[in-house]
Amino acid sequence: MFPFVEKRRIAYIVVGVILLAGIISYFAHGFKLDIQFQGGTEIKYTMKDANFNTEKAQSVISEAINKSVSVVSSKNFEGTMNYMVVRVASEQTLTAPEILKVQTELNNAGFIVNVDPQITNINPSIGAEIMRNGILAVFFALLLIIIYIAFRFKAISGWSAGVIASIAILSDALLMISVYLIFSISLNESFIAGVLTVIGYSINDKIIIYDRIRENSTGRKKGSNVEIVNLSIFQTLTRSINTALTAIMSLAVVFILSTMFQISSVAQFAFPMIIGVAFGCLSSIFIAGPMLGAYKEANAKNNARGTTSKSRR
Amino acid sequence: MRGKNAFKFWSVIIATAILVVFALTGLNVGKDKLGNNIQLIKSASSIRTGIDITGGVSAMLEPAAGESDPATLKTDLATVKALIEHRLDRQNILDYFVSTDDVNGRVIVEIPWAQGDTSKNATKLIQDSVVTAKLYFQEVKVSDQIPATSAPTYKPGTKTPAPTKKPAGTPAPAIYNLDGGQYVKVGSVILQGTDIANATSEWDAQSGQHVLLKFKPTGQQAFSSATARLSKQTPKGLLGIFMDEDLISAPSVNDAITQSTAIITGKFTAQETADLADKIRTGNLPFKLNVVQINVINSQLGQQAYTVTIYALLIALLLIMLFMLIYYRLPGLFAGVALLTHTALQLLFISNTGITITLPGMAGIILSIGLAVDANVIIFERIKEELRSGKTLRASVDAGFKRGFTAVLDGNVTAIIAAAVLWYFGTGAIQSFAITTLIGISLSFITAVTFSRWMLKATSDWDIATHPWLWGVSKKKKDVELGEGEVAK
Repeated sequence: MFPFVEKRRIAYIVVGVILLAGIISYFAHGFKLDIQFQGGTEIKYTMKDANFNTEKAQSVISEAINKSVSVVSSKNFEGTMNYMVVRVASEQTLTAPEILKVQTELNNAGFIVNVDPQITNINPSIGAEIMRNGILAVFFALLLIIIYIAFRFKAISGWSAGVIASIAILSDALLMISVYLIFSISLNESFIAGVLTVIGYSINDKIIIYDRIRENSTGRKKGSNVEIVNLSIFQTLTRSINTALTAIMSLAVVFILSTMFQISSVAQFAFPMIIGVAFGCLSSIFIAGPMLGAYKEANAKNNARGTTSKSRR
Repeated sequence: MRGKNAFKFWSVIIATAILVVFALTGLNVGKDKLGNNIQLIKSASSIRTGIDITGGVSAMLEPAAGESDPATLKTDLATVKALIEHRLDRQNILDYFVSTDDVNGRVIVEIPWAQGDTSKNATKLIQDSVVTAKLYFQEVKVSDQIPATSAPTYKPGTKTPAPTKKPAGTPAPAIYNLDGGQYVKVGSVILQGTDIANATSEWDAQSGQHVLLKFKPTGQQAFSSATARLSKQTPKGLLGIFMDEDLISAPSVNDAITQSTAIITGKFTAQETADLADKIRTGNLPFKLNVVQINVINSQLGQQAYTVTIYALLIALLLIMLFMLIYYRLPGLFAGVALLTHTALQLLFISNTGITITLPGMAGIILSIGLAVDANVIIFERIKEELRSGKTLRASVDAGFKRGFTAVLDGNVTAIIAAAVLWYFGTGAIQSFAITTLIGISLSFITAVTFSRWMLKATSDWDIATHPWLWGVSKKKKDVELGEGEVAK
């Protein structure tokens, strides 16, 4: 049986390193925000071929609407579609007449653009509001789930277990944020949805392990707290892994297919959930369980030594 | 297998078969005049899709700064909603969704494209039918800034001529183009759209196709004094009719108009006067609207993405069923059947309640397939343990469900909390994800817990199904585990 409790410090160090890397990235380049949170305008025209002068398009548009824009050329995955992507800086969004004007002027300048472009135009204040709501949602969900844990764990293993489980799910959320910081992936509402789903998923994992610890320690089991916790983690291991596997399987199919066909909105949605479910599963096995084991052991030792002892583990 | 258990077992199998067929084809009761199936139960293919799939436009509108009155905001927003709906109806756009957010003072407009329609210019549609706000009458004169003859002509494909240098000093007034002529505004607004009681499209032999305006008393007074003044000018004064910053008509005023009606004449077709009357009638938004958010989705891309997610759903379903079958054998097979029921039920629920599915919503359905088997995994693992500890099959199945249930409940409650919060705080497409996961989690209670329990209980007293291999427990392993029995309970 794997000594989960004894080896817990390895897990703490791994988590610590990732969080530290996240913090360093934050001070190095900060969060990268998606257009959805930051606001701005993006127009994506489908073009006949890739032979168009982006610099010329840029000057035509800038002249037409008197705002600075960036124009880049892009393709879809199979290379069958060509796009011209026009972006406007975040503090400036385009009004509907301006978007129409861009279209007319591009046509006048010899760029044949379709009348049915993809347009994302978000006012920065709305973007900030969506982001604020997202952050609120994460806090609110955490709060509700902690209340639920408190209520449930009173019966299972007492408050200490509830606190440790909350620390573990908080670390899941922080790890997800760190990954996004380290790799400078832009944050949007999909990420928030991912964090919330993972919080809901991850706590369940912890409850199941704790439930087993309680069952094993109140039963006719012999052995130290550490042994009981190790056994409980081991007994629920198949379940923890299989559940994470089926969840990741379904998400991975979505992620792989949507990446293959360049449906970025869907790929962006599945990605945070995949890493979150993986973190959630690992943190249940290597953090939430062992931490409770260590706590119980320390508690038991203290009790054995009586009130005179001040040494803690 | 006999009696009540057998009945339940076959009920589940038959129900699954029926549900899958319904999800695929629906329940058709004849055909309508156009040859389309009339569906009593709607199949998965008639699920309503959001504009990120059908293509279309969604816009969020806000009153321009300082134009809205907090006291009347709520009724004003309702007026705006009604007007926008009316305008869209008049444009023959029948599939739209307009909602108001009274708290934040916003109007949200969503217009999906009809299937295969790629001709729509979304921005123009929003500009013309939604944002255009104010109708007003103001005196105009022919512009003398740039001689009309040398007005730049724009041809598609040619380069825009360099803007003419404006004379230094006072900034040049805005120039409004109408039928090749150029006009500038003079004086202040004479009449607002709110001063007009009604506008209709008319025809008579004398005036031809024209628009008949009917004034409110305030309008009548303002209009009569203004027309009295304009008709005395030489040449006769021009009365500009503006829709926001568009000059839509500039008739010359021949006489003072003192009665409560007036007509706008010109070289109009019946369609044009109908449109103009319509614009005047519905052109009175209580305030000018700003587009704070607009998303336009190309229909082709959305449909392609939807197809991909459908494939993803089928592949994920198949993979998970296979995984469960290989890992858990007989119980795994039942979990697969339950999962099939789960997916069919979820799709039927969504199609028959008319819930709109977006791409994240599809991801939610697929994720809930992955999560639904969690209940089965928990229970089956428990059954295996009970079997290894030496219990009979029957007792193990009972104990597995009994002991596993609280864990399943916990998992579902926490997932429901997270989804509900997401639904409350999320916007549009994300809310669809929250809804599909909520439906999925709730349904998995019925399918993964109840249905698979019925199937397992029925087979647990069926001689042929009691071989340990079928339950994933080998004799050898059992002995090993039994050695640990005092610990493993």
